Amino acid sequence: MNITEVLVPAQQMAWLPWATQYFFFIGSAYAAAMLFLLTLFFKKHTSHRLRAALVLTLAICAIVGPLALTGDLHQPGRAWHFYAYITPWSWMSMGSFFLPVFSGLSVVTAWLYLRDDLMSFKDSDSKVFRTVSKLSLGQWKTSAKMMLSVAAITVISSVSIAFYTGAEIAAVHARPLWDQPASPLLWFTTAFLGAVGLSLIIWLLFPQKEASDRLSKTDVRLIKQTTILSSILALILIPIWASNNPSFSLFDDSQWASNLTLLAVSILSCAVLVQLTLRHNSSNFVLLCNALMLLAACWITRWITMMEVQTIPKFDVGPYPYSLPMDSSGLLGIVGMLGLWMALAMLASELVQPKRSQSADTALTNH
Amino acid sequence: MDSNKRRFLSAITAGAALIPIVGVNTATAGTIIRNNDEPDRKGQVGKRYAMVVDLRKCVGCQACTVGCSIENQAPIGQFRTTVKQYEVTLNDGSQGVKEVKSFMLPRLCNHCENPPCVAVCPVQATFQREDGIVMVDNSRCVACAYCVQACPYDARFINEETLTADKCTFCAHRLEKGLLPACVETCVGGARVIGDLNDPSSEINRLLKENHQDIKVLKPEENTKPHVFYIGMDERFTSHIEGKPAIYDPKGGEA
Ligand code: SF4
Ligand code: SF4
Repeated sequence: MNITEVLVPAQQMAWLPWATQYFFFIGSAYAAAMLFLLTLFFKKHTSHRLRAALVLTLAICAIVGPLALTGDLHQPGRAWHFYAYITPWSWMSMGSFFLPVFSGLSVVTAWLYLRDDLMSFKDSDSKVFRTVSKLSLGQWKTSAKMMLSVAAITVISSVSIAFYTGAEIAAVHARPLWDQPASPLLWFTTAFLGAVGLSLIIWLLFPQKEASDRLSKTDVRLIKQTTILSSILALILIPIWASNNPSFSLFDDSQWASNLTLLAVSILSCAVLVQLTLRHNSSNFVLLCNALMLLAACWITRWITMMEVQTIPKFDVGPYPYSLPMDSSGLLGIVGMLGLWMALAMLASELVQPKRSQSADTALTNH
Repeated sequence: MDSNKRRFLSAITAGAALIPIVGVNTATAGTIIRNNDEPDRKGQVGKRYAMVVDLRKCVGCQACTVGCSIENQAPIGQFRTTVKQYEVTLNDGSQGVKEVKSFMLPRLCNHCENPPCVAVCPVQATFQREDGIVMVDNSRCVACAYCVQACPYDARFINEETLTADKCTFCAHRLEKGLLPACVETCVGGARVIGDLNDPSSEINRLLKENHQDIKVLKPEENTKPHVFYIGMDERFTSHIEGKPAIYDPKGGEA
């Protein structure tokens, strides 16, 4: 029997690019939280500037991510319904509780960590900096113990985010490509690529003067090992993930074969590029290339596993057509959110001034 | 029905910290969530509505599609019910002229007995009444589209005008007034029959009994227990169509 579809209305995409953005930013945030704690443990060897970049990635992504999420609601004004009608059996409802806690903790962690930098502005010539300096809320020292405990609590909260975001999508039994352990694991491992990429961007935005402003050897090792480990795990997960589509084989479908190739190549390129080009004395251009590659890989993973998967019909042959609209539900929304992220990153990066980095480092070490 | 939820709720109060873990087990292991505790969510208690679609009688005229659109005013291009059409040729090796046949498949919400769309809703906007009808309270819906993803039948959509989740309601507003759903009323071949499964003398029970060897539902393997039953269905159409795809608008057109 040969069947040809004659009249089958296409199903519209239900989760818009906003969702991809949310998972991109929030993934980068939770991974940055974990990496930040790691750098705090090894603070003798890691640089203040890398830690500051990680903690700012954490805080900024934890603010921008939830904004993108409300964009994915077609009724953003009703977001308060999440709190009026608590639904513990829905992962999305649970997320509405985990998320504000995480965002709050992220901002507190960044604030605690950057208080030394804030305080260093109190005698600044610029009135703006003197005002900003007041954000340190007093001249007390952040103790290393306090810093560590708050960062650790934030990591616990970040695990709740990693867990719920994965479970939320994996709970959609109707889509076999989502309903499998490989999909949340793939998002989790590639989240670290996003975190490292965005941190490198912030790191590049910091005002730089001296050689001591460069990445330390341990910084480079951390970035390399995180990237290579995440990439390898992701490369193992991709074929496992892709083989779980019962309706047709992704490997035999030309569109999907190219999607999967793009996915694998982008992730592989991260590992190769970082391994070959990243040194503690790499030029800013090399660092920028690495950052952009990491971000592209993280984004492509989310785009293919979340957006492209929605073009696969649950019942019919398909695929359903989708093209990225130019308006706020598409490209404009993506560019806008990236712009917001960039603006926040540029502002915040001014907090970490070149000379003061060393003293901030020692201040924290002594307590 | 409600006792399931109450049992579930008392189980989760055992430890708030365990909520997510219990939640995922429950959502996947079969406790049925209906979100219908409020008195105005009960519907016609004692009944269980279901539909039989006799495919032998469907001529693919789309009268039901139009009737539903007029009755329920879904935006142009969005449908609560529609009739999918497929061209079928038999390749049984015969040398004669190939006979091309059409296969018509009316589609609508199945008002599943185990509806995954209800369990995922984060604000309990979607619910199932005691009479089996799955509804959306669109003054509560935040339009997260989680339910659209969760429905294995693509029976839901985000209504472009109301910007909330939308789907077939079995025309509950008409049933309550003693009228038939618009699609049943307009069906020229009499292919759609709605009725109460709890009434032993109903037409739908008679049809189900008479044709019990020829009754199929869509995607039985999903364990959603659909309550739209098809007579005269070929099993190659029950789960996932294998064939040539429809030709959609070229990329860049409206999806
Ligand atoms: S067909 Fe879909 S929308 Fe209707 S009850 Fe079943 S799962 Fe829910
Ligand atoms: S779109 Fe509306 S009905 Fe569907 S899950 Fe979200 S809030 Fe619930």
